[in-house]
Amino acid sequence: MRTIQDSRSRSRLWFVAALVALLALVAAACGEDDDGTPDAPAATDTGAESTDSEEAPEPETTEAPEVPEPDEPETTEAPEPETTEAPDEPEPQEPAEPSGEPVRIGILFSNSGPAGLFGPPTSNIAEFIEEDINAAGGINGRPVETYLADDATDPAVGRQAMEQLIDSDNVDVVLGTHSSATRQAAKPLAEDANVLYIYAALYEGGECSSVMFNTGEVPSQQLAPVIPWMMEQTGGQTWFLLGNDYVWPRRSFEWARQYIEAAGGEVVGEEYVPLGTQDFSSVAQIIAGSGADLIFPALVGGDAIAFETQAVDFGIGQDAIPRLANIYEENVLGAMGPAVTAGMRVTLGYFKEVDSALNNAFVGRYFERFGADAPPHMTFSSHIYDAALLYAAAANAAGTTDTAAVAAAMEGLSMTTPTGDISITGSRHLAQPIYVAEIQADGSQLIVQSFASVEPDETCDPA
Amino acid sequence: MDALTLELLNGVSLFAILAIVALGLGIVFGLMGVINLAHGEFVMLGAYVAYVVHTVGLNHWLSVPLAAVVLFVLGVVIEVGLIRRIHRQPELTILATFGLSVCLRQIAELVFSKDFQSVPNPVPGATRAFGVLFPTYRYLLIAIAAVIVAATLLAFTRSRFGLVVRAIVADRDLAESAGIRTGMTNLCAFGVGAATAGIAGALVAPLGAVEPQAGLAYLPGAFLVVIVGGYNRLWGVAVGALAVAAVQTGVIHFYDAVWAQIASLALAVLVLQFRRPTPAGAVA
Repeated sequence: MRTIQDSRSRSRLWFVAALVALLALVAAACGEDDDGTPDAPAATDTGAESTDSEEAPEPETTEAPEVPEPDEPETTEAPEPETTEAPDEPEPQEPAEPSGEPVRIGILFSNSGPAGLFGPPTSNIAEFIEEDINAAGGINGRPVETYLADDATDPAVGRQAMEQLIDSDNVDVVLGTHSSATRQAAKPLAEDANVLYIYAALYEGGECSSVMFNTGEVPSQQLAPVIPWMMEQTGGQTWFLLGNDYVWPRRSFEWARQYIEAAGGEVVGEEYVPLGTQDFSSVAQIIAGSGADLIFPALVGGDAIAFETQAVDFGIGQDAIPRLANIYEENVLGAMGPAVTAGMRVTLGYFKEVDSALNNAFVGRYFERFGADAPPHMTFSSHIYDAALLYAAAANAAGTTDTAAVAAAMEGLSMTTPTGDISITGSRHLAQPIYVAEIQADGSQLIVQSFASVEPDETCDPA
Repeated sequence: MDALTLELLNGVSLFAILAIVALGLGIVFGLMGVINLAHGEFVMLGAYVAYVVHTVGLNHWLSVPLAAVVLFVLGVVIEVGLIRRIHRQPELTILATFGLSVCLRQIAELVFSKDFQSVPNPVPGATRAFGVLFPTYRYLLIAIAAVIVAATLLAFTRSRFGLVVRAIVADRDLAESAGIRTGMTNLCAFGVGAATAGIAGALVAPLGAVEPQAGLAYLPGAFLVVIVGGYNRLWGVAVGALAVAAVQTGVIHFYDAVWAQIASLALAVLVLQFRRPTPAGAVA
């Protein structure tokens, strides 16, 4: 028989336990994560493995007892007819059948957790990376293999995934599309192992390391040409900046403020909300009271959807105050629905609607292969594809996969991909086209403006 | 003046959302003492019920009772299969419900994919009242949440079922020896808790994204409300929601949303520091 005292101290204990759990959750929900993806305690699916073909994942460290190589030409010898005319040509290498020990390309990406919805297009594209590079003769005559590792949108898991790629899969290069938090956690491993690490996601800028190249869009590229254009198009002068509270929106807004003021505009409000915010009523009132002509929302995932759907009912929808967004992508826009999004403008380095022969063929092949309702190819997967082609071209030029030699060959490299004309800058970033899409009444994206070869405002000189 | 009215309405609507979302946790955690880390996933599943109702072309309001039924059944299954076996050991309920939350998220992902979905607002636009324009849906949400919270509170304080629950909360062993079937009561209480979470999910669905991860964002807020309001008494949910809504709205108005979040967490810490131990059994 318990006494009242017992049950009280027991309840106490539960309370402490609950509070600890709560704080842990909150910390996880509003902690780290630094780029265009939300984070939260992730459904851990620690997986680091699974290339697109089933034979690849080999847990053991020594690579000797590999399945006999000849089985990945299976991909090569089932060539889509369009491979010949559409993609790449990283190097005008005579397409001799690649042979020998494969060059291993690791891809670190988010396939589960809050940013997990960006995963499927990237794993689809991994298939094209193998196919296209091998069809063009491979790297220094060797075939390429891709190794995928999932960071579960969690930096700690990302670090383990990087370890798996480097130590178990023995990759020659890691291509990354994941949060900045994961990049910070995984980078030291690449540096220690001297493995080339090409971070291809759009991010806040400022990364500089001897083993790294950063080929995603940085705020200076997404904003410098587009902010003056936006003001000219709409006649708006005053801006409201609304972002999630972490490094990427904050850095984006620092740049935005600079370009707005340079164009003669004014920032009349700047607000940050925690990741996972669901109620925007008070924020909506602040925006309505600010008198802003334009809104620059740097909100991610569910927060973006909550804000935009609620904003309409508070009378500050797109039709009242036009938006210029730098992360709203198809999935998020689709969930908001065309009634909310029609007229919004989005600035990114790639849309599947880019109208070039190369891109049309590539996108056509994508949907033909993966189905008309496949998760659409988008800026993250496109930048991973480009990063792989850049790596292949550099390694071919260097004649080796040695990290320092390939890194030296990377600098100044240019090529034309479905994204457009791209080239690696001296700051180890990517000069690339920037596109502005306007959302149509049916929810589709129409590219209304493009800027060729936009230079990133970055400096980097790794010792 | 108008700005103040609007801010008050914002506060009331936030209060309604918090109260309806936390109500189920108030029953399951506050009364039964089960630390249910899967509560957010119950809310998420309720939102998916609204999404399915929308997809098959039915009226949105139908999703409110439907979510209650679906989640009640799910709650009963979970109580029988899981909670019943461990509910006297808080450490185990934390682990088990955490695992459950991961499973429910993954199942939602398998069934509905990772994509963001949404439920269109059934009553778009704003209504003019008290001299200001305020979203119509929020007025309805406030009204419905008030009715459901009040009805639940009454059921737990005025009905025989409520009396039995209170007896069990006061002293489970004594209640059992007095012939109360605690097992059946736990089953009902957990089912009702899950059902109200489902209702909450269906109600908030048109205000944001419907996605497998959505529950994660609701869980901390719900715990915050229950902790601030005080456990062992269900009306604590209303008090807690009111306090958190007032702090949130006030701090956002005068400072910003980041400080608002910090302030509401600080509120929970303060409340825990200064709360006098509630006499066991002082329910409602």
